Amino acid sequence: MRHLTRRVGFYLIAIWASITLNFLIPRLAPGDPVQALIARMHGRISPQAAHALEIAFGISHEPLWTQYVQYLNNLLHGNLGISIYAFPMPVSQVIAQDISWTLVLVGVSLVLSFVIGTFLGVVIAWKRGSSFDAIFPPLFTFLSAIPYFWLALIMLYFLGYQLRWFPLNGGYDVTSTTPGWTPDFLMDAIYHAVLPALTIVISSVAGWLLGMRNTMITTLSEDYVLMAQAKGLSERRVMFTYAARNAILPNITGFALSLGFVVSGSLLTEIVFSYPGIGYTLLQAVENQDYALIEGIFLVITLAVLVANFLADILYVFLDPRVRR
Amino acid sequence: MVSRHFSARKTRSGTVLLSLFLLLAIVLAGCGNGGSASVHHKNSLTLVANEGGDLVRNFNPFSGNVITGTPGLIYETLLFFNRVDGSVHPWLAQSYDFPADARQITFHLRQDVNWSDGKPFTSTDVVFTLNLLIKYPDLDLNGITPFIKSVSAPDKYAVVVTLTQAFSPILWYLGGQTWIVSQHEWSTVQGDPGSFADPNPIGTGPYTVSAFTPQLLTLTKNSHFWQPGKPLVDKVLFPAFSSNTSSDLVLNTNGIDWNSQYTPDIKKTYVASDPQHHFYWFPPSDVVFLYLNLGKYPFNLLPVRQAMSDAINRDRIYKVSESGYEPVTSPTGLVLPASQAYMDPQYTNLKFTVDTTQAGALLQGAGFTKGSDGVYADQQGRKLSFELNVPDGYTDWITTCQFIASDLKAIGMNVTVNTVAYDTFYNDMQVGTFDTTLWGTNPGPSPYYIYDSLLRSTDSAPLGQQASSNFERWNDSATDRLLNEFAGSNDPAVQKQAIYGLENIMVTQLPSIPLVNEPYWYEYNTLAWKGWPSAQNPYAEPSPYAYPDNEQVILHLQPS
Repeated sequence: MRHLTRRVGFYLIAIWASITLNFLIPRLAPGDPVQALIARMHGRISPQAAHALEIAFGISHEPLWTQYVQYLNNLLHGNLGISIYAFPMPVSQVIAQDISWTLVLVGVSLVLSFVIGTFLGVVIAWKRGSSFDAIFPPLFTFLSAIPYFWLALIMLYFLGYQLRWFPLNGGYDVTSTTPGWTPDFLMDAIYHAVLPALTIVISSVAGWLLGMRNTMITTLSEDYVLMAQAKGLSERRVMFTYAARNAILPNITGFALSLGFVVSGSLLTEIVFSYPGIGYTLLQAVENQDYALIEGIFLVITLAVLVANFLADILYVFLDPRVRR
Repeated sequence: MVSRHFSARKTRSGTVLLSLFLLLAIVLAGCGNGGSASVHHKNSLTLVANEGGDLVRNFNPFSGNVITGTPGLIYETLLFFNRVDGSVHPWLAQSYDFPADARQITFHLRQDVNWSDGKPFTSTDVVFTLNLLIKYPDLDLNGITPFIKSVSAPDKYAVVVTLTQAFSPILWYLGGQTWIVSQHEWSTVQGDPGSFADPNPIGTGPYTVSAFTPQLLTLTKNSHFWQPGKPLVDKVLFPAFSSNTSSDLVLNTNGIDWNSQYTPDIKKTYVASDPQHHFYWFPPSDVVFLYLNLGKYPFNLLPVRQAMSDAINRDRIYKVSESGYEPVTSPTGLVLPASQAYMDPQYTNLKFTVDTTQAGALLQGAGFTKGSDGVYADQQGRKLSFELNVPDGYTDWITTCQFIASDLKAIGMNVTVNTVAYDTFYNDMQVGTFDTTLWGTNPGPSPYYIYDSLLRSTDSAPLGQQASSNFERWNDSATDRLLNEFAGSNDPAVQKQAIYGLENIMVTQLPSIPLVNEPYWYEYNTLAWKGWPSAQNPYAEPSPYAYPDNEQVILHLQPS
């Protein structure tokens, strides 16, 4: 229990620190949102108009300290402000609009990649030295070493454009379906997600596979594994219940951490496939000096990472008796 | 929109590995979408006016965040200016009077125009709109209200705008770029209309909003549109794209009818995939300049500017870094052929030529001597060594800058190319914390607009303060006088003489170094629709993001 309360204290400080950094960093960058907007429009604008726009956008030239207090106050009231890039949409609405796409695509890809990678890692370690072991780890390492952007482009070109197995862009076929809980839309959304998800899985599976294989090989040399085999237990039982169960701990930690980062989206996937999501929105927010949106998205990412870590902490208490002491 | 053909070649899979994943993927995919394979929805047109990710439901034509491509289709202007040939056409105003003294404009409105909710369009709407701009300066993105003294409506279909001073260029902003909104919708807006998203716009244009998701905007025909029988395109679709990596491929598979993007080697990538239906036309819109910071030494020295201009091989920029899309500009800075009528006869045949010998002679004549490192320096030992800024990610411009740097190195200048994040880049330009930089200009229906934004001293500012468009900081009373002569009159002969004078300043003083034209990006597909603007039929600027030209294009289209 003392372990958990100490962790909670740590998380509260981490949240405060990240919120503060979140406030400071965008404001330390040069340029300002109105000028960015004007530049984007190539417009010639009078100082009066620029000033009026600043007021409309809620940009203040007050001292940082005052702005900081206002910012904290707004956060406490759940007010993330108005986006400038998506003016005049509230930040919370911009995030809400994109986050579900990201959660599903990146979340499912992560789970798939984790499950496939870990499973293959277990099997490969079990059959270490076999031809299976000689082919798969180098192959997956090779695939993950290909720059993601290029891999995605090539797959889009061949599987989407040449073979026409997959759609070329978007989260769903915008002309034939509308978002909603209808079988048509869901199937269409899944169909559109397959290729982007495939690219993410292919490029990330190697990490899980190698991590699992290596800890597994260490575990396999433990005495209790030898003991289990000597008892004459089935191969499968020894492999999963004795070896893999112990070897999976580091991968679980990694998984929890990655889970937190799911909400930051997958920028390159979103760009290559014009897939809706939070990563591209964050890029746009940064390019347009959209403080409120940057802060809103980082806040969501920070909270997700901290929550995922906290869950991992709790999970560890249950999984690993050594932590409980 | 996207064509889907489930080919029978599923089994011809590549590696064992891929097939493992693909099998799962295809089984999943196959469940839902076995049958549908329609490429085009009947009577609809798909356009991509920009690739900015999710759409935001904002149709406020005075907002910088309006959905690109919607002004013109929903809201209209009083007049239509064809920037390709400089001609002016009646639109919501069937005629206008703008006497030669350029102090008062009278617009005579059409009497058969209704708003999309059926209410009549009258002079009160126009007066209301202009007063809105005067009251809320953040709506006035062209900065015209300081020139407006008063607006009145002598009758239901006439509007008189009295100016504070003679100012002829206002006709373009007022007639060609000011969106007329309805009093009955906009007078109910609470607070600053600049913050109003106008989610359900009521316009006079040919379309109204029929469906919206962040991924797709659908516009349908406005049944109250004032041109009977038009438009022939029932629906206009605006799908959201985040980049051209996928939109390029969708374009090639006929999923986009009207597009606006830079595509490398377009003849091979786009045209060759279907030469019967895939076309492009990249008419020039403005000029890309090498801006030199005249507030800094040595760019305040004319021989240095002339030597730089003599050294740059513009032909290589045009053919290599700009893929042959952006021809070398005239030394006068005029956009050709649009401004051909304004060309001073003495400059008709003037062209840029590379002359490194003369460049060297100019530098030596100005007191520079070449050091042992091959770089020129002045008597105090200050070297001709400086930076060239270019926005990050502008790949063609970055190549251009590298060419410029190598050309200048060849005559003894040491240039460092600096790729800078866009915001920082723009900010450096505004406050004058740059040596040299690559940037375009603000075009309009006559050469005045480019010269005005580039050269007017009031658009400049001392180093350290924000200049609005005269980034090189050219302060010259003779130039200002010529600009005022043009603006102060509506007499074409007077205006032409003023432009001749400005051309002379460009050629002899080189306030900025003209390089190549900047085009309008425009690709079109004739599979479903014909009547597109082209070099043979240049009735409007052709990009879907050119307003209100986009409306002209759509109204010209007919089923193929």
